[in-house]
Amino acid sequence: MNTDDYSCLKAKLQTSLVGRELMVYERVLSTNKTAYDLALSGAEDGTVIIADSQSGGRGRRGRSWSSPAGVNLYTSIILRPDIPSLMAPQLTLMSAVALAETVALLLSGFVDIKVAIKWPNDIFLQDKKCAGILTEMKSAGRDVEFVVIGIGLNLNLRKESMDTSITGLASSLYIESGHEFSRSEVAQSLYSAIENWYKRYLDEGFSPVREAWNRLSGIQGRHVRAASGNGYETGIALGVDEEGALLLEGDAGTVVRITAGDAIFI
Amino acid sequence: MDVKKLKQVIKLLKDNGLEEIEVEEKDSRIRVKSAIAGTAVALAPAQVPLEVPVADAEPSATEKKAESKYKVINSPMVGTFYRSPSPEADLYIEEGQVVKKGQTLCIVEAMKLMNEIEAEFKGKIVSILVENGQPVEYGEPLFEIDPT
Repeated sequence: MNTDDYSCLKAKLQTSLVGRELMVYERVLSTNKTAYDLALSGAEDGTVIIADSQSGGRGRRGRSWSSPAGVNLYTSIILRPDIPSLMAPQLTLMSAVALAETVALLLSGFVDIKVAIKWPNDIFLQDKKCAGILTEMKSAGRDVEFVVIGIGLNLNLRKESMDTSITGLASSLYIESGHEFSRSEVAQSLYSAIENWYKRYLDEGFSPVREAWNRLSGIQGRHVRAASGNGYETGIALGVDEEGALLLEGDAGTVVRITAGDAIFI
Repeated sequence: MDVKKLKQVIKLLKDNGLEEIEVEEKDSRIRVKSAIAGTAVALAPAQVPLEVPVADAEPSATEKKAESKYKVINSPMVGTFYRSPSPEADLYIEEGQVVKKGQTLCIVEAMKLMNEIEAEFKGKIVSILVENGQPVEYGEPLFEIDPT
C-alpha cells in the first residue's frame, strides 16, 4: 500500500471546504508540521494534508505517535475561523466529536465495540486508544490566525506490528473488529464529518458540540483523575462546560474546571 | 483554604459580576466582597482576618506595568504555560535574552490545543512572570519586554 491509496481521494470528496486544497505525501516528518508551515505561508481555510507515513509523528508535549506506512490515517486540516483565540480550544472538542462519529459509523455493524471520547479529544475503543488529535494554533492578537487540527487514526494496524511501547494501551479498528477499512474512504467520511460540525459550530456555536461531546464521551458520572497545574485533581466528571473545560466534582462538593493535560478513569 | 481556591472564588465573583460571594467548606468559610477600590477579602468571624493585597489579585499588575517603559505580553487564553515544546527540549527563551519579532516565547495549552505565543515586537526579555507548567488566566501577564 502506498500513496496510490489516496490517488482518487480528491475526486471522491463530498465536501466544499475541507479538502478543497488536498495535498498527499508519501512520508512527512509530521502532517501537523507540514500543515503549520503551509499555513504560515498562506494556505487557505480548509486545506488538508494527508500522508502515508510520518517519520516524526507526535502528540501532546512532544510525545511520539507511532506512524507506520500503509495502515493508518495521518492527516492535518488547516482552518481559519473568525473567532477569538480564547474560544479555539472548542475546536479540539468539535474535532473529537467528528472523529468519534466517523469511527462509530465505521463500526456500526459491530454492536459490541464501544467507541468513546476521552477528554479532551482521544478516541478509545474498548478502553484502548485508537486515535488522537493534536491541535496547534497561531493567534494574531486576540483572534485566531489559523488552527491546524492533526489527526492520527489507527485503522488497519495489526497487533504484531504494533510498537511495543504502546501494546496494551493502544488499539486499531482492525484489531477490535477483524475487518480492514479503506483509508481513502475513511478519510472521505472524516472530512465530511469535520466540515459538517465545523459549519454547525460557526453557525450555532458550541452548544450542539458540547451536547454531542457529553453523549459520546460517556464520561459523565465516572470517577476521573486529571492533571491540573503541576498536580492532580480527582472527582466525579460532570461533563464539559460551555468553554470545553472538564468539570470535576470533588469529595467536598466543590467543582473544579480542568483545562489542560489528560483525564483518566480511576 | 489555599491561595488557589481563593483565586477561584475571586474569579467566580468577577466573572459573574457579583458584589459578594460566600463559600463554605468542611473546615473553612470565606466571604469575598467586591469594593470600589478593588477586591477586598475577609474571612468569616472566629478566624484570623486575612487581607489579600489588591496587587496580588490580578489586573492591577498590568496597570502598573503600563506606566513603565516595559511592554507586557499577556496570555490570549486560559490554559497551562510551558516554556519549551516538550519536557526534554530546550527552553524557548531565557530572561535577559533579546528576541526578534515573531519569535516563539512559550506555549499556552488548553484542551490539547497548543498556542505558540510569539513576540509581537523586538526586545529584551526583562522578566518571565509565570513558572513552567503553571495555569494562566485570560489576559494574565506572561512576559515583560524592554523594546528599546
